[in-house]
Amino acid sequence: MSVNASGQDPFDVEAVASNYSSHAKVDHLLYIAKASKDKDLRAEALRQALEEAKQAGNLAHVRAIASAGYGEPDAEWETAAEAQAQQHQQKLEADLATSKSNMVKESVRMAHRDLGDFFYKIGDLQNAFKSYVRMRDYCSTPEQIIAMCLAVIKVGFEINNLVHVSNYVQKAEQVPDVAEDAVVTSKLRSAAGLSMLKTKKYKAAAQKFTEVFEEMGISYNDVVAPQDVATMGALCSLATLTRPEMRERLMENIHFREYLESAPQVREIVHAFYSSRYTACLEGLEALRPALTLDMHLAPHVESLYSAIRSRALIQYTTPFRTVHLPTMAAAFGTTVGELQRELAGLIVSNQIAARIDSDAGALYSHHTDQRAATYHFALKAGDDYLRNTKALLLRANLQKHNFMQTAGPQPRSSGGGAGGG
Amino acid sequence: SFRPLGEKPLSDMAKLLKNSETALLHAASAPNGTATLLSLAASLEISAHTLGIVSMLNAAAAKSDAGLDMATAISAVLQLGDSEQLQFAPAQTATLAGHLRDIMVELQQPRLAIAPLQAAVCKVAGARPLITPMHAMLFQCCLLANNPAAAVPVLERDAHDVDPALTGMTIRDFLLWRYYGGLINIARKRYAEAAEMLLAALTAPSMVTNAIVVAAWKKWALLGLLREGAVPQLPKWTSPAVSRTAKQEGGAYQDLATAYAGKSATVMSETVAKHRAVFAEDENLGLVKLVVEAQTKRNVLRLTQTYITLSLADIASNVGLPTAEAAELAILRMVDAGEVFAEMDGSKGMVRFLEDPQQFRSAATVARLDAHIAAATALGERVAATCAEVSKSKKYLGRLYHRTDLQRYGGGGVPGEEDDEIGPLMPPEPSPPGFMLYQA
Repeated sequence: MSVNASGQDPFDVEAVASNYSSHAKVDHLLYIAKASKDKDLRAEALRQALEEAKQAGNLAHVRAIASAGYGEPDAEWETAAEAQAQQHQQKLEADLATSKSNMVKESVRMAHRDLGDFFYKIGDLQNAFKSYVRMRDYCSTPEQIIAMCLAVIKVGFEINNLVHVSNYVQKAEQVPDVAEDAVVTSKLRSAAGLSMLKTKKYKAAAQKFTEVFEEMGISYNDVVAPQDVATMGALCSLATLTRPEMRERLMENIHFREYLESAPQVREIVHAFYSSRYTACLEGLEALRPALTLDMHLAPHVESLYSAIRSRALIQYTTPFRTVHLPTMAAAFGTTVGELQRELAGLIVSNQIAARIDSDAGALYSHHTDQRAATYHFALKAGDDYLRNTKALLLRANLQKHNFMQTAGPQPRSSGGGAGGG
Repeated sequence: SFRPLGEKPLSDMAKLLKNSETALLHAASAPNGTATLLSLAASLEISAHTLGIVSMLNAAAAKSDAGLDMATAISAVLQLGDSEQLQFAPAQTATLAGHLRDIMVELQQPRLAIAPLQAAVCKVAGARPLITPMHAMLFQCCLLANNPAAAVPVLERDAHDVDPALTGMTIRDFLLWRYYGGLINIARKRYAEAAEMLLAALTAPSMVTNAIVVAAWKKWALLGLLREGAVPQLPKWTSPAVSRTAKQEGGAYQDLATAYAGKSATVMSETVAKHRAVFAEDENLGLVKLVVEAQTKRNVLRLTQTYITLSLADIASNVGLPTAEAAELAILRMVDAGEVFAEMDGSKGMVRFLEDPQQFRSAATVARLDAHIAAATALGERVAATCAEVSKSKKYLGRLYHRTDLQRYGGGGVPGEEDDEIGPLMPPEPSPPGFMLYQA
């Protein structure tokens, strides 16, 4: 069911949700409900979320939805679910105790895993995290270690503990032979990329996302969907990579191409940027914006990424030319000459464009520092500094030689004489 | 009664005078003591009996309310006295000069002290690059008399040695020498030199803080704002007492620095108004006014980095000036002073910024470079000389060879040939010339 959001392409909640599985689906829906200003959209998102959460038996999510003010709290369902959960928990904890007393490594590991899975299912994330982490000491094979790391990473994202996420990504990457498994490697890189994005390390995120292999496909959609890899990877790349890097990682990268195919709007934006079709690129970004502000991972970063992309576009536009006609450029960027001048002035001041603005003629002229003048200036200054510092040093040495030190109390003149002028 | 000079060494005379100190002071305390001593001094021939006269006048001045008569006598001995004798007793000479300064300041006639103090400097320092207590006194009188030019010959004379045995200098004299010197240079609009002098006062070794240093810091901070657009960092060898005080006492000035960095002229004038009383009390309103103007200039110069042409209205809003007319006025003033190169099209209200036509191509630049090289060479020689002097000093060598067995070397020979046996303390390369090992 699609809901129209202010005249643009209607935002299809179900389509977006279907990109994800497990908790990710509900979390995305909950975020949409929180961020959207459209009443109907919100209701729809919560409805789907509730359906999914009940089906999954996730008590925490059900409670969250209820507190978001949707629907009637189903007391009957809740009590039953809670009772069942209690029972199950007791059994699993008993199993764990038994395994521990039997001291069979594999059983303990499985007991922790089962407890972790259980807590995860009912939405008790903190305990799920602890249980998964406790598996660490009982893993024997590389596969087990990787499975444990991936589980910790997944929960780590959900409790927003990015430090642990990146620790366990590193741990998993150090497992022997992990590089041979394209799917696992891709998952780890996606996880790394997502955690870099969240900590605003956009360039690192771009690098990680564009190193993902197509084999992963939708298999990681309890954390990131292929569309996410495409969107996050593309936007971060456009915002931070140099042109050669962009060519290598976005345009000529056959692995990443698969992901771009799953997000055609993003693909168009990337191509437009690379071919210097700025109007198309910026229009595409604007069309994408509403959907992105409803995305739980990207929403906080949309503003920074967009303005970084815009700056890069401005810089890329001016780089090849000696003279740029500002009205033409303003039209391409959908802005006025005055506003454009302000943006360009900012880029000049921050040394990202080497040019000067002729506001009278409405033009931008490339300008390179006069190396000769700069050299003279530097040489004279170096001379000045050397003379000044050395004189000061010698004066201070002289003071120390004669033990001149300001102390409390008056210091009378030494009654001289004797040494004389001889 | 005093025996005529030339027959016995000056050191005898000095001893005699030292022993007579109490007697002289006693004489001064007697009724009419000052007048007696003054007439006694007047009866002696100045150039022959300089030392004696200095002692007598010092005793007289120490005891009584000295007036113009005393000042005249002191002036005479400073200007006409024998250099050799004055150099023999630098501390007494300085004390005497101090009395003259005190009297003339009290009588509000500092101008009259200038010539005698100039003479005193020349006579005590002679041809040597010595700093004397009279330097600071001279500068102070020139400032009070509103005649900074009179200080210039002494100000620009090479002086870098405070040796108290030769000059009677104290640390306070040093601080005042640099502080008043800085003020003179500010009056001459030589802001770079002024900042250099004030910094020397700020970085002098110190366990405590004092008013001179605080005042010096405030002016130094303002000069930093004026010249570089920010208050510079104190060098890391500054005494902690000074850095601490700068933080504690410099509040108003830090505020000003923050306002300056913010580029808005309105905020700047608000900050000035807020701390006006403080600036006035510190006698820094003149410098503050210059700093305010400098902010506008700096903002305009920043624009020349970004724009080739810009309308007056835009300049005004960018720079924080209220109207286009104000911007026009500011630019005209800067063009006049050669601080910026620009053309104005009045009809369009447009300003075109130009490159400096003379950028480092003039004879002046070549001359400046040459002067730098010469100065640097001379300074380098001084550094080498100082280094050699230190390397030969007993104290330095003692520390260097503290742990080694000196007998191993006997006499002579260049150390370092048995490097592994010396251990970590090795002489620096190259060994100073004429190096001889001796027992520490």
